[in-house]
Amino acid sequence: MIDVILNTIVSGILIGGFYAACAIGLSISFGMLRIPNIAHPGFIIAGGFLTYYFNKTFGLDPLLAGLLIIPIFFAFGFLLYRGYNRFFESKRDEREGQMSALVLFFGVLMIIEALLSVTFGVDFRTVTTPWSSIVLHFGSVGICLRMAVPFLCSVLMVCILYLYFSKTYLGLVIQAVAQDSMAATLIGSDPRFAKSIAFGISFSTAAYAGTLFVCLVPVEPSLGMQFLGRVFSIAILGGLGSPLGTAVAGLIVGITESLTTAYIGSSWTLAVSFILLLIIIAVKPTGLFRR
Amino acid sequence: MNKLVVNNLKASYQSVQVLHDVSLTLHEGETVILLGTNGNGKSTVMKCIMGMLKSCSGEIYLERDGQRIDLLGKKTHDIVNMGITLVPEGRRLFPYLTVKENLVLGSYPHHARGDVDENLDYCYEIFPRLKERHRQISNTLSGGERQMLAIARSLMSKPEILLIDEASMGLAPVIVRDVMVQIGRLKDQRKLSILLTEQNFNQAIKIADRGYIIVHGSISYEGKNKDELMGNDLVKKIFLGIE
Amino acid sequence: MMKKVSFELIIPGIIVACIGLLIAKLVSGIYFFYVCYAILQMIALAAAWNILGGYTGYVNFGIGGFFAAGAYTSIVLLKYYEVNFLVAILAAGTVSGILGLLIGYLSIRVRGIYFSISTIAVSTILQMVVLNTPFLGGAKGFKIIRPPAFPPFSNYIEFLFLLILLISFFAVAVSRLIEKSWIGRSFLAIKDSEQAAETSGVATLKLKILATVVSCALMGIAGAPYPYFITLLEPYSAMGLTLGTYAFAAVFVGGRGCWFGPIIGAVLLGGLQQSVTVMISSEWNILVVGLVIIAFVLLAPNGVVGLLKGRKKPVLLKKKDRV
Repeated sequence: MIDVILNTIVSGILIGGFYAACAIGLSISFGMLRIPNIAHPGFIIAGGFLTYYFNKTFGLDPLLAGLLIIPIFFAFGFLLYRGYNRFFESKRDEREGQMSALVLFFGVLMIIEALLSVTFGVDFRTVTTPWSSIVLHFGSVGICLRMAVPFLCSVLMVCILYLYFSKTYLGLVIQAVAQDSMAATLIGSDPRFAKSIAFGISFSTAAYAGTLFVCLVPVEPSLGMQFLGRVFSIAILGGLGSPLGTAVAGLIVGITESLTTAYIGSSWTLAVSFILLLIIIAVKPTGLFRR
Repeated sequence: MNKLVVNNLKASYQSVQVLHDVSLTLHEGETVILLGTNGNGKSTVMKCIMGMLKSCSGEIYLERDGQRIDLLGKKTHDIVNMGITLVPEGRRLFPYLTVKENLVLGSYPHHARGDVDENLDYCYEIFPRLKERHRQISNTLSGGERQMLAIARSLMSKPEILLIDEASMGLAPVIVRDVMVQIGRLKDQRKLSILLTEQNFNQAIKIADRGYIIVHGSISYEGKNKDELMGNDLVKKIFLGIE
Repeated sequence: MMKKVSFELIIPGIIVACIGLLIAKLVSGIYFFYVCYAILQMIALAAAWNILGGYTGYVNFGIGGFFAAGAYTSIVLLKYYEVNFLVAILAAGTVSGILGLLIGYLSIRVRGIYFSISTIAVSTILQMVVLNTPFLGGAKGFKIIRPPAFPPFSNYIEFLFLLILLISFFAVAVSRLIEKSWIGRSFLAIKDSEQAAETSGVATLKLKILATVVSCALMGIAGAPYPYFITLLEPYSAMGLTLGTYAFAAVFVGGRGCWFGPIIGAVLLGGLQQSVTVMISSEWNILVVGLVIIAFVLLAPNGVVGLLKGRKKPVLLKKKDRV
């Protein structure tokens, strides 16, 4: 009995770490830059499929392939912000701009899903590596490397981002721009540049989260819509813009989902994050870890 | 002799013209005050110099080692990188960052990054309160501390020219005096040229070398020194309440 | 007010019903009614969406959920309790309206984006509930056998056509009534600046919730005859993206915050959808609607109506109004 609970919680933690990696980019774009990028999970799936493609075509290790697609996504995010700035931030007032942008990104999410379906088909795809099937045993708890490796990579990612945003000049400037863009120009920074970098980083995290995704479980184009609830509830719960908060929130959602799967039934798992999302929005939309 | 020159500056918000041919000069090592009551265009002058207002015309340039560098049309962050910085009206700190993070960010311009530690020590020395509170989140500071932090943050960029917009706004009289004393010390210690906009004549005049009075968007009087300013009728009427 | 309602709602309603009957009598092809049904349903959903999204600027992504709530309510009542069709329609509207009230209370106090995400959440949760409830057909869905046609109709689809025609007329008429009344002007104020509206005495929160409830209820009503139209009601297609997204894309194509925008948009987009579906697969269908949404948001934020208005010369004051 205890073993089951322990194993459930451990797998919840492992998957929760991965969720944090999925949500952290949204936490940056939605939390810091106030760009309602609901297409974020779509880009995660796209990252997963690209990793799959590199793995299948060139036989690259998926974790390595993921590193290769990061620059592509970074550049894409960087440029996309330029366009966003031109069409929305400089032309329309904030409220109107955000609403239009929301609809726009919804369209983008649909297009990604459709393009992936057209290119790769609607089947589930996954990559297998030599370490995928290894299971380590610690007493009664079994840890599968297929889950542990994405977890460790996610932890690493969160740590890097935390250090980047609190210890480097550009990271601090991104935070500064998020808090007061006008004052940020007065310290000699170019907010547009800082935001482009931040959006690029947000996309890079989506790419690598996709890589981890495809290592962890098979992916399929329409999963983006399902992940929408997860990434938003984690990002909001984590206090939007705080890497460590996002990590904790990811663990909370992961463990809750894991317990739900074990004790209520896997057909309700997806509902967990959406219900959690509604509760957060109703009770505490600023999240748990807003500083 | 290096100087900042503003010549025939016109500016407008939408269709309303708020500055009419403003001209002023700031020489090296001077403290110049720009006096005027609310809504006469003091802050607008500052915004134009910093390139924060697109709809302005005229001439704004820097004369440095005999070379003329035009500022009009340049972007704000480029102007900051030339060694001109503004302490904006309402402080505009980064509210969720700590005091120290705010200060470190002040040294973002490339020419200042090398001397972060030195500048940090200097700021802590003139504003010891900031050192005590360096780990505190900046929006939990008091009004006076925020003003100190705002000034300190702009000093971190090692400016040659410091513009201060409404340093005394919203502060208690005692604190205004402190802040003015500190600004006065800065000029002596760091060889700064300071342009200060103020409504509080009595405090500002203590540290000023010269001054301009701006009324309805144009310079209506230029005082060559303290005494001239003190004796001027317009000053008496507007700021001292003497008819 | 009553006089206005009778002029704007009942009399035109009777006229529309007569025209509908006439069309049903004159046209004999069944395919025609299927196409018309799809387009009219899109008009109804788009007009309903427009009441909240167009007038107050709150984007509802959960159209499918509210629509399906109505569809399931009506089929459950019709199938298990054998109630009157009118009762089923009203019940469908009530259930969706209550869902709207819930979501409005939960999320409309905070920023608009949170509302939008909540709508996705609610429709996903509804989908989960249906999937996990055998009573509602689960994943397999409901198989529905259409009742035999009754006079004056020669086919049941003609009756459904008339029904959806009246429903879409009702949705458009309600949105027009709201637009032309003090409520519409308050919405305009809310959209412009919520704070200014609030301080000028507009009860913004109440009005926003009212708009949410009316909008969602109309979506539910639009869903009520759907089970009989589709004959197989299952959660994936009823709550899926395509249906709802086409509806709100129709508003963007036509023009937001204007009662006839959704009609224009739905006719254009419905025509496009019919031709695209005939030609190619459903993925391309989604791709096309995605591209249409992006193009209109970027290039013509006020839709076709905005484009037409933009070309017009500035409106001159009437002689008596000139200063």
